[in-house]
Amino acid sequence: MLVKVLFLLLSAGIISEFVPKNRLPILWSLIASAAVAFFIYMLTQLGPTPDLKIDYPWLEIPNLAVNLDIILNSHNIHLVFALSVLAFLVLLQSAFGEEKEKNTFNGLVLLNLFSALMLVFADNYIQMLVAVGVCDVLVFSVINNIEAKKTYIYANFLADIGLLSIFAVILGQGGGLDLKNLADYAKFGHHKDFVAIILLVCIFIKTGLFPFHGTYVKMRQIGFNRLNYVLYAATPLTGYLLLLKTEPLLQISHYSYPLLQIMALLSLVWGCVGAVTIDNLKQKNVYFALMFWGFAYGFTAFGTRLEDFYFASVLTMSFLFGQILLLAYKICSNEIYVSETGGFLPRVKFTFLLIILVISSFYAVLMVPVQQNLWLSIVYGIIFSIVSAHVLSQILLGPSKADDRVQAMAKNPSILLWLPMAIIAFAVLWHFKPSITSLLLCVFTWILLFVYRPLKRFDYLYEKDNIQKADYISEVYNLLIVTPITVFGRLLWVTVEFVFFERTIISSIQKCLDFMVFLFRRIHSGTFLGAVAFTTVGILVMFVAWWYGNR
Amino acid sequence: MENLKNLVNIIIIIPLLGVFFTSLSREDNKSRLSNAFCVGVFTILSNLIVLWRAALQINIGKDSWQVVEKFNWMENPKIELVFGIDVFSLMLIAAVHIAVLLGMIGIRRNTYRQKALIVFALMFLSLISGYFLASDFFSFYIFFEALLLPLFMMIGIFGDIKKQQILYRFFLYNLLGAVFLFVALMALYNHQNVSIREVSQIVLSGHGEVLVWGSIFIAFLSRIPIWPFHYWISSVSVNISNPLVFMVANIIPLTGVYGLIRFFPVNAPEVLRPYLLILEIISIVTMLLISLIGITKKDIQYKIFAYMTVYYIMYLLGALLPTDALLMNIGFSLFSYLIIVAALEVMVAHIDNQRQSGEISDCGILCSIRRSSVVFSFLILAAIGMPLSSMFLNNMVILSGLMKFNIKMAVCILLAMVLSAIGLLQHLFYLKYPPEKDEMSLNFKENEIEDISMRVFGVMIMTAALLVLSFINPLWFIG
Repeated sequence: MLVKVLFLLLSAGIISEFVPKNRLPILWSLIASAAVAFFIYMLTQLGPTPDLKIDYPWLEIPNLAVNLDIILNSHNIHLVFALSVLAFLVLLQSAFGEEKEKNTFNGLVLLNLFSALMLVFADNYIQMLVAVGVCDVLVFSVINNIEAKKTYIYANFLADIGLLSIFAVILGQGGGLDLKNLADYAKFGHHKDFVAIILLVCIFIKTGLFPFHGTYVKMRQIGFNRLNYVLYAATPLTGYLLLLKTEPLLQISHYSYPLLQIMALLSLVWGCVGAVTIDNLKQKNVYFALMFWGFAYGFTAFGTRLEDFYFASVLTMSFLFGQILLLAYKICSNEIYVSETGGFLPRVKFTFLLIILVISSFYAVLMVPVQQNLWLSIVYGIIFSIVSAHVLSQILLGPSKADDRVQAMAKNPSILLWLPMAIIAFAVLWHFKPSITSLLLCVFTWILLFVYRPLKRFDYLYEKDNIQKADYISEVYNLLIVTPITVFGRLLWVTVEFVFFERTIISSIQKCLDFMVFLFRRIHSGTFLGAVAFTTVGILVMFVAWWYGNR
Repeated sequence: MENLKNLVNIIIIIPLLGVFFTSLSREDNKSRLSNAFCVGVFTILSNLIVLWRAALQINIGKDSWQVVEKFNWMENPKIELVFGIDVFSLMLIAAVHIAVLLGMIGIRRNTYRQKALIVFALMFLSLISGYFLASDFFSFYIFFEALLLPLFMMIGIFGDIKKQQILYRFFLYNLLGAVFLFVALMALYNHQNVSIREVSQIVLSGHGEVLVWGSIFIAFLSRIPIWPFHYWISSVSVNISNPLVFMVANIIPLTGVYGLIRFFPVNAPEVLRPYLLILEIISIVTMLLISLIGITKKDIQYKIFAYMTVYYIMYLLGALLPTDALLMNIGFSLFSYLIIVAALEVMVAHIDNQRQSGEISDCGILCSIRRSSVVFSFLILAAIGMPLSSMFLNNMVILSGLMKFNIKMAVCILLAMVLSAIGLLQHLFYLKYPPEKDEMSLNFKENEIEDISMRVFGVMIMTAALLVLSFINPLWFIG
């Protein structure tokens, strides 16, 4: 049955892609949402501990016989559930929000959900690589801004080539295709450091950890809903899933875990810095995502992998926080700069309650992994509280800098937008049932932070152009990679192609031939000297042949 | 097998019949599509059906040459023409047919000597099919040389102002290859007239072995854009804007790769093995050189040439080096590769036409033509190796063999592949980069930029579907 429902998702995605982009968009969005809702319903029927393993023989080409695995068990069902819920929320947001080309976007969401599920189900690395690659192509289509598209595909193409080369190395050394065999690579494999480090770099690029976050920062021009979906349910997630599935490969090198730890912590810190200092709300959202991924990677880096259920819950709540930022953006009449907002609270008290509900659920979820890694959870909790309170306070409570029209138009968002979020936040809160005292303590602390906004002294940074428009990573990349390659390429063209070939080899041969043609024309010109020269050359040739023949 | 025997002959004959009927077709200016074009398309489609029938007859699991047809041509000297087929040659013939078909679709509106172009294209198809099916020295050599004739004529008719120079280079390099191959094959024939698969049975003296095999080596290399032989193909690629001629010219290196694949892996004598190291080094240098130049050049034709060169050499190394990569993997990958390049070339020609007719810059042109934009993006993504065609997994298998053999060399190949892919991506974004609104109104007068027609779009969608199917299962057409 699950296979049929998966097929339904795939079909719905393909159909949405082929429906004219502006034909009955709300109806098609609701149909797409219904397909996902049905899938979620089917998942709930399987219970919390399903044990399903389906192997389809997929590809039988020489040197590569691949099965398509669909494995659903107590470990991955939570993530499957969370991904479906995320897709459902995005589709609803698309139906009732201001999404352009809804039908196309819905199709891409459904197809991306399908490929993400294939990645979750994967038990061999061919399926894993294909799912990652397909996800890249789909996200490339989701991004509707050319600069963002460009950066995204360059970065992810390089990461895909890196992954392909790693698994080509493993395949070449007879490592088999099963992911569980990766653990044995330490015994038989070569180039272990190469494999582990390239793998990690590729994963960092995909997730957009520091210093590769520029890929996602450039997405500030795309729609908020699209951005949110990409940040939490698409390529960055594939990077994290790659990490989980290939973790045995990290153990083959001494460098992998220290590298992972450094990058996770740097991402957490850089995410915090970016979320405070950058004025653009969409960019802030990217930095919040960076903080979240830094936190998730931190667990793996410090040896206590975030359990599947908690990861799924934290992912859902982080996404919901992104949706809260989206609502804030809508309240401000799509004002993207936080410094141009402020003072909306009196008009949107209900939205504030929704924020409190989501924040409470966030804390409820965050309290659980505390037992696994105390200091990391506390650090993330504190950083998240301070930064989220700072940003939301500035929009809702800070001094109003918005123009009168924006102020007058501020109102609570439509019920169709907030109700699904509220239901999910409430369900999470209900499920985790945190201790009331701890939860109240956290929420009151957050409200205190919200009211007093301790980081307000950094507001002046919004006016610093060198911070707001800085793109140091791209500049370094241009300076160290693009420019040398371009200069070297031009140099090669001028020296090898033009001077050496065109002007030396080809030109010399042409001149030689011209000279020979000239010579033969003169010989055949009918003059006495020509006849003498022609006869002499003939006699010389005969003499040389006779001379060598006698030797 | 009896049935397959007839089909192999038919595969060579059908394009020749097409040549005949196209030559007889009347020029008709009234209809949108010329008679010659319709006959050409019909011929290729018919041959594709024959190829499909042949594929159903072949034993797919058996990765070896299946000799199916022999003709006794002469008794003294004894010349026997032998034809055979395997999955590899079948995939190549099918890919070349589809590539030429796409090229024809690219020239459907060109009225300038279209009939001649289609006649030569069909002649080329017949000869190249013969070349891929040839299994003895004579037919192999005859087809190897004869298939240059249509290209020579095409460049002569459709080349731009530099065509004399191009033909000169074309002649110079190919003459070199022809002489070397002729001498080598005569030397081999002098010993025994055997089929190519059994050539290793011929025993030569030490120096003779080096000379004969070295000559064969150079003859095939002269067709492949390996330094220093790359120059003539790059000249042709850059100076030809006609998609069909471009495609035919860029299929020529395939004949060199195919020749080396057929002659060397099993037959090359041990004495020649050390020279393979030189080939490796030259190949890597060429790949890096061409891909680096491709990145800096603004001309898309050169970028496509750079991309093709890198991939041709990668396939060559995959087949020649003692790796695990089988011919079938290379065949599956080459199938998608040729189709992608042909479709890409059709799109490039369309955009170039719009640029020339509208006298505009092509920067950002795709923003105004949505269908072209979708197709172009898909093709570039498939070309760079995303999982949209059979190139993805089969290239991985080839690379795994190369990595196993020599990881440093494989990393250099990967680097060249990345550089050539970035060159293509650069151009995609150049064409998609949205101009400022004022520029847009100045540059693109919306009505003047024509998108690809719905029919061509349909063909491109079918091509995309074909590529995706080949990714899901490279042999989907036989179930």
